[in-house]
Amino acid sequence: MLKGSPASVGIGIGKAVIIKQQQVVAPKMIVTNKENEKNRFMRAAEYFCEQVMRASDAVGRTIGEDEATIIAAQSAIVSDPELWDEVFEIIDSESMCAEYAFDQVCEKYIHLFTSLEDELMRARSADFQDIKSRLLSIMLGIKTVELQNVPRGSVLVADDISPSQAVTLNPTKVSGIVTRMGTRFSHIALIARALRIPAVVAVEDVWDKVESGEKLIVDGDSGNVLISPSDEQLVRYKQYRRRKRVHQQKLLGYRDRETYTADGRRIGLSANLALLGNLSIVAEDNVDGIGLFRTEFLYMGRNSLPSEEEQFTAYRRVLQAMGGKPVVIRTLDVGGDKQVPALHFGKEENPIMGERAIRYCLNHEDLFKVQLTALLRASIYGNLMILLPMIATVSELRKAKVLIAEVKKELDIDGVPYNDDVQVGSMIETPAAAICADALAREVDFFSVGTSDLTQYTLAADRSNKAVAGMFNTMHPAVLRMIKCAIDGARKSDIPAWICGEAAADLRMIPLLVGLGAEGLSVSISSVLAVRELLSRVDYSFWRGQIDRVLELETAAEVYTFVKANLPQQASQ
Amino acid sequence: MQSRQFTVRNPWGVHLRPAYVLANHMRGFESKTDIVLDSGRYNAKSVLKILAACICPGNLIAMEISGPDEKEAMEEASRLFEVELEEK
Repeated sequence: MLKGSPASVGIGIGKAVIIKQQQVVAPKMIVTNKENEKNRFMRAAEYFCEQVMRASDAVGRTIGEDEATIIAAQSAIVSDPELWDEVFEIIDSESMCAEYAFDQVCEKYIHLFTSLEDELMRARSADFQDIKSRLLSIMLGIKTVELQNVPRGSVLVADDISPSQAVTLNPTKVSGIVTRMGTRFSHIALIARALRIPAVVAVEDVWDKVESGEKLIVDGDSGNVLISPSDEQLVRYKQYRRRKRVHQQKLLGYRDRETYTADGRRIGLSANLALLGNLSIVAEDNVDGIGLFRTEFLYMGRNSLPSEEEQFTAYRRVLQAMGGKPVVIRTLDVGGDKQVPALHFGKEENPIMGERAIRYCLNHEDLFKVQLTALLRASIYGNLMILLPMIATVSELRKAKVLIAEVKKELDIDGVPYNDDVQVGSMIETPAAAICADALAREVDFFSVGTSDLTQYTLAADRSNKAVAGMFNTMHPAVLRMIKCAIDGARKSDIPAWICGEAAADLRMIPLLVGLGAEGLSVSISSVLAVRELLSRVDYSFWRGQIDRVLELETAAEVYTFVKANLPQQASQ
Repeated sequence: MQSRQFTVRNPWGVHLRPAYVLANHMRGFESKTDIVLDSGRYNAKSVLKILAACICPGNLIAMEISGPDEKEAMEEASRLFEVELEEK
């Protein structure tokens, strides 16, 4: 069995078809007719672009806009006047043939990118390699390896598959892809995912072990490749694949539905968002809104602070993209443990319990007000809910609300419109907040329970510390009682309490959260459908009736046993 | 001449797609459009040159635009840098 990196999920079974790149060597010939050489180059470049643009259209239809643009970008490079200038310069000054001149220019850029430290940038050299061999092949009249003609049930095995090759891929014939090189973000990985062909990359020893025609199982979930599998292995993988397919189909059926428990209780289901790029995906699964939009990305990986304008643009985009659906945007939640060069955190012994999140913001009012101003300005573009992180006391909440009121006054003076009814909520992730939730609930419009941090602080165990990581368990009765405190506190003031930590997507925790009375769950985009499907099999009245009994259990293990025994049967696995 | 600075967050500078998008948009203007870094000036209408600039995340880059439609071109460049290109 070979080990690689999973690049595209699924199980592919087929026969190995070896794809070897042809080495194209540029001849080094002195020429006398320079004009002719330039014309030859221009004609080859035009032919290249024609081919590529045709492929780009086809790719755009099957694979998608992004991949098609990459192919089109290759064409743009080949038709770039700057490139032609460099090629012609060599033809003129060295009296060399067009192939040599072009080869030299490509090598210059290939060398430029491979010498860079960043892995992502080195990948650009592969693009130039691809352009080089393809254009040289055209000029020299060499046929390139075409993937359209592989037999059905082929597993392609190659060092790498270039974008211009990948566009000729026929998905009905290719069961799987295995490459020696590459990462999850290589072109071939992106294309494999778009075409839903299982793929494993970075299989270093592939050429030692795999021969043409051998039967292979490509496990794109784990990154394993089985060579000449036994009948028993074949049967097992085929069953696994069938179960997965059935389950995926079933989940797709939940796309347009609303979220209800088995006995008809409506549960809110929203998506968590960390980057703007995933916005379009959110729209597909009929979520109730965005339950947690993390704003840290605006501050991280840069030396300067994000301006009010920059933040405003980002917040407005999210709000507009979600139409009138609620968007919960959490204010800056970072601390000394994160790499944020733009902010200045003092050296702390204990950053997890230090000046972070709301505490940092309340100590740096100017910074905080910039974010609040941007949020309020954006509030007229949609349904904004402002969420304050790591609240431990009512005083902190009141201070934050005072700042919000100040910002509103300033906007009034400047005549800048905002939504005065913007909802403000508190995260419940500290034990203090959970225990005194009834007091906090009187100050805000909603709660969002951060189960991961709440678990950490309640059990006083740092999950990144190997010595105690085993103690970290949201199912522990202590944590469950904390969550109950939070939800009961919310109920006293008739405000909603949502769960936004990892537990919200944990299929074993969900029945408990439902039983505790959570109004809604906010989960990662990839979990939305699975959570909706599970909720449809969870009986609210049952779990509501049993929750007090569960809270009397003494260990996390006992809770788990109870849940497992009463969990509605899993659809797959 | 218009000049403005931008901080690049995502590694769009060395992705083919954003380089292509930027070059395409800048080609629509008459003005000369350049990305200016310590390492030199790079023609922002050329995919090749944008890539050759090897722009990394966190870089502060300057756009210099001069010509009859320089104002519109800078508006467009700003929009691309601050919004569209930051998409993954």
